[in-house]
Amino acid sequence: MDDPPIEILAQQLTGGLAVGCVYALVALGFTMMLRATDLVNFAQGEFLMTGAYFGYTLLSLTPLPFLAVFVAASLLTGLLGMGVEIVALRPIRLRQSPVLNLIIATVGIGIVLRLLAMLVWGAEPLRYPARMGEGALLVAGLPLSGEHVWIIVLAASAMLALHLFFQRTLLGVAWRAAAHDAATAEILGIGFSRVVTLTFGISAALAGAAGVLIAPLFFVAPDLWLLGPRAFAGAALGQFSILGTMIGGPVLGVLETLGAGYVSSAYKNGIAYAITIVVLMVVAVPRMPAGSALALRYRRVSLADRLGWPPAVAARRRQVAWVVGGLGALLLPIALDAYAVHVLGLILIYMVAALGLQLVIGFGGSIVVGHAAFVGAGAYASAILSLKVGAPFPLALAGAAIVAALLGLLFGPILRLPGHYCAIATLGFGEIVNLVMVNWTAVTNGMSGLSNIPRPRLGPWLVRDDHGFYYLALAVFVVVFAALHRLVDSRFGRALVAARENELAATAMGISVPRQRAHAFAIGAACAGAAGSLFAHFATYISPDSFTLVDSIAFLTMVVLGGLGSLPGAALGALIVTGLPETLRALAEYRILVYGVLLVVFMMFLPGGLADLLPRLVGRALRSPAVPVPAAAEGRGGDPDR
Amino acid sequence: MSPILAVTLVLALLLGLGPGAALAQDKVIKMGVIGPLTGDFAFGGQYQLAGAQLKAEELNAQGGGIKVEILSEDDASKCDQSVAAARKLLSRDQIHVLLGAWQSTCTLAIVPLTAQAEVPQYTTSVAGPITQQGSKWIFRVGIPTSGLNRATLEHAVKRLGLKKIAVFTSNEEVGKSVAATSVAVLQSLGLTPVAKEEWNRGDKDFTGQLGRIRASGAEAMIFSTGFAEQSIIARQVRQLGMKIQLLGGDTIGGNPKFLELAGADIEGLIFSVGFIAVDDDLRVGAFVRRYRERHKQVPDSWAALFYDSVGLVHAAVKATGSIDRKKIAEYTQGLRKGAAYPGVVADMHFDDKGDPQWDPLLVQIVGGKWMILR
Repeated sequence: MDDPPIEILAQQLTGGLAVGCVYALVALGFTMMLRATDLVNFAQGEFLMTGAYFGYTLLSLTPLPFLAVFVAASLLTGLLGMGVEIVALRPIRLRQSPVLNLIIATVGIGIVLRLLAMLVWGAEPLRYPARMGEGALLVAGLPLSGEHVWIIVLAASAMLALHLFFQRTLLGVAWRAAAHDAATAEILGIGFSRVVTLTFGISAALAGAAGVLIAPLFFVAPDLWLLGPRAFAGAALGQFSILGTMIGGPVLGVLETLGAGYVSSAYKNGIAYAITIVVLMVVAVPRMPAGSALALRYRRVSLADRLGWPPAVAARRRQVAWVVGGLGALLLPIALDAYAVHVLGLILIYMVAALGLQLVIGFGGSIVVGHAAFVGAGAYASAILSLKVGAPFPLALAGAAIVAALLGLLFGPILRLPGHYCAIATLGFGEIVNLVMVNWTAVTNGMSGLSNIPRPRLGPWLVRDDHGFYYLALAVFVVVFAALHRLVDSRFGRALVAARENELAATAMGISVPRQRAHAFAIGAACAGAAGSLFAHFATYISPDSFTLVDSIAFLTMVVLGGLGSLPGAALGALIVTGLPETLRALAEYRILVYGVLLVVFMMFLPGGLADLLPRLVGRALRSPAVPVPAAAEGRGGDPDR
Repeated sequence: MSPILAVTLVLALLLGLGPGAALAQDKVIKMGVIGPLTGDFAFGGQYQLAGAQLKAEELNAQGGGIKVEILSEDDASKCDQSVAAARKLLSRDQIHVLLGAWQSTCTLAIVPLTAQAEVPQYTTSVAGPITQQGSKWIFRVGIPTSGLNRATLEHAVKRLGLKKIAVFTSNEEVGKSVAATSVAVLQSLGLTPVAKEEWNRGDKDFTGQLGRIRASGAEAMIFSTGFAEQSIIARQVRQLGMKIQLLGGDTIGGNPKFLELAGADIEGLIFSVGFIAVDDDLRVGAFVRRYRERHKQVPDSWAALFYDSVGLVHAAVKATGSIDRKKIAEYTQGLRKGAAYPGVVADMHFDDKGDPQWDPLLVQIVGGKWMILR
């Protein structure tokens, strides 16, 4: 077979550049957001999708030319971004919630946008009514797609406009000042809140512009949002500087296309993430100021403290509560039918995984967005051990935990990365693991998945039905919960929390923060692996589809929804995130919309997560002052995020 | 309001998990429909559900003492959710028949469940292995990839005289099935594919693989499956200046949106399908009109196939006089040529494995419209 001719290479290069320019626009939004607000906006991909749909509607309903629609759709998306920030995110910010809560709120916003788009424009991909540059251009004797050239030109113009905005307008200079030093800027009269809103508007507008540019090439469909997380890699490549991002995006696009052409199209989507991880880990390790983005800014007040119980009484009552709860959990399935018990079993499995992630995020202070990879690794390890080696279930379960833990140890160094860099690197890690599941067909059977995974057998007990499985999962949950409960109260756990609260001080105390975190990562991964094993033998069928970015985001949501740094909270979070969509099945496609809205609402009204719910309710009943940090009383004016 | 709301939600959650009220009425056939209503493949699930609903409404309006109840479950384009939905329908809702899932991979994952629960399952999924699992309860109403590809490839090789054929498929169950059956059909014609490439679901850029296919000197390319992917591939084929006869695998499913989406890029494509919406056909015309009136869109093969599936089950109940899962399966199995169920798609009957015994239509896209070649 000959090498593809030069025309093909030229086509691939311009195609890669065009997509890369689109990445750059989206990535610029990420970069601006990170610099001004310390926030990763997980709805950035959805803003791109929304912009594409706005463009579609404008082109269909108005006689406006493509260029005018390009500008108008970008502006509309920008306005939407500002609106979303004011309505949904500002209240959360003013409550001084952890940054992660804001991130989760953006996840919720993304879900809502995706579902709204589907309800308004339908689920099928749509053809763009108009396109720029049909036909081929001859450049230096090579036929290039006019469409690609136009995308590059328009994206470059948008970036130039942004550059001029920063250099030549008062507002742009004010933004730079605020991003550089918010406190000083505030003194000089540049309101931080307004800067945040403006940042959101510009980021969304850039994403919207990207959407209008890419839609003619890729069609408009709800799945356009997936470009968002990948574009993040462009921002990371550019070291989160504005100029760097403008270069990082196109570089990413070209590398992806050439990689697919000359290395492997199967791992194309992993190329971006692999480069990002390598760049961050080896080439240019980012440093962040001491302290941590995750330090909990509120004090968790326990129920016992609320009620004013002395410690001894509280301990006794807690024991009573555990016994009652335990009995309840044992008796609950008797009253329920098979399907309800099935769902409860699934919830217990996700609880086990969420507990592990709570250790890493809530106690360890690392933002991890790739937890589903460990669940998947455990699921595959367990399934393969059972199917191909014939290992008994207990061995498969242990094997799953060990494989996942080893994977965690191997990638533990990622957790050296500060905050958001860690988030993107672990996200990339998760995507790469997923691609391995898809493409390593000899072992995983690829997208077809592994079926007929045997039901668990423990000695003489074959766990055949949902009720049996519930008790098995409950047992694993209790063991994991008890172990983690002891662990977080141990020397190890306290060192972990110390590192989360103040990395510098912890290091000064002789704690090796990276090692501490890597170990926490491995332990969390082991929990995920055990959960994955349960999942495999419970569903009896697994495929890469069950361990995607969406699932990783769901795990993250469980932990934050439940309440950072609370083990029962993680379990509660898993209950809500897994159980709610199942309970709302009657609502068909609207259920995911409701789920997204709830996510935002919870972040707005329950910043401490579900773990704070009961103490708050009791506090309200006793008419004692509500939350430890009420928004109005202790918020430091316009600088809540610093 | 927040804590109260949250408590209410948790309570609602727990209550919602309580035993569902089982209202078993004598003359109601409960049909569970599983498919993607959200996620990547939402369009597919929505079409097949719409077809099932239309037939149910028509039958219920007719009266006759047998009512059809459609219980729809969304699997969000994910197979573990298809499995969960199937478990729910089978154990809680006590459905009499199951229609679905849509993706071949997901259908394959459900087949053991319906076999165990002894509930007849009807599916539009086309991947080969679905009926090879030893279940007596699975009936495939869509023509499998082997049948579709044989028709398409034989036409290309024998009629059009094309010999250098490339195979380009998704790496999912249906894509792999298309690839495997294409290779087998080509082999039976004394040929081997000149190139064999795969893509991942959701890919948008195929120039890498197309570059290699072009270098192989292929005269024709059979490619499958995925709505948007195939449209983008067709466009990139044109942009790369490749002169090549496009052959469709499956899953275009005769969906009208495919024409709309792919536009001129797909002109000349030849493919095989079980059903195509043409107004002037005696058999399908009336169905196409009613479907368009009810759902404001043109039906595709998935809609037609589930429309027929609901009708078939209803006919089974009517013929056997009782709503009995076993009898419905036996009735379906007992259909024969000459004593088939007269659906809009075909006179439906099945072989021992549950595979359909009727021929696909060979269709070409000419002037942006379907044209039935044979």
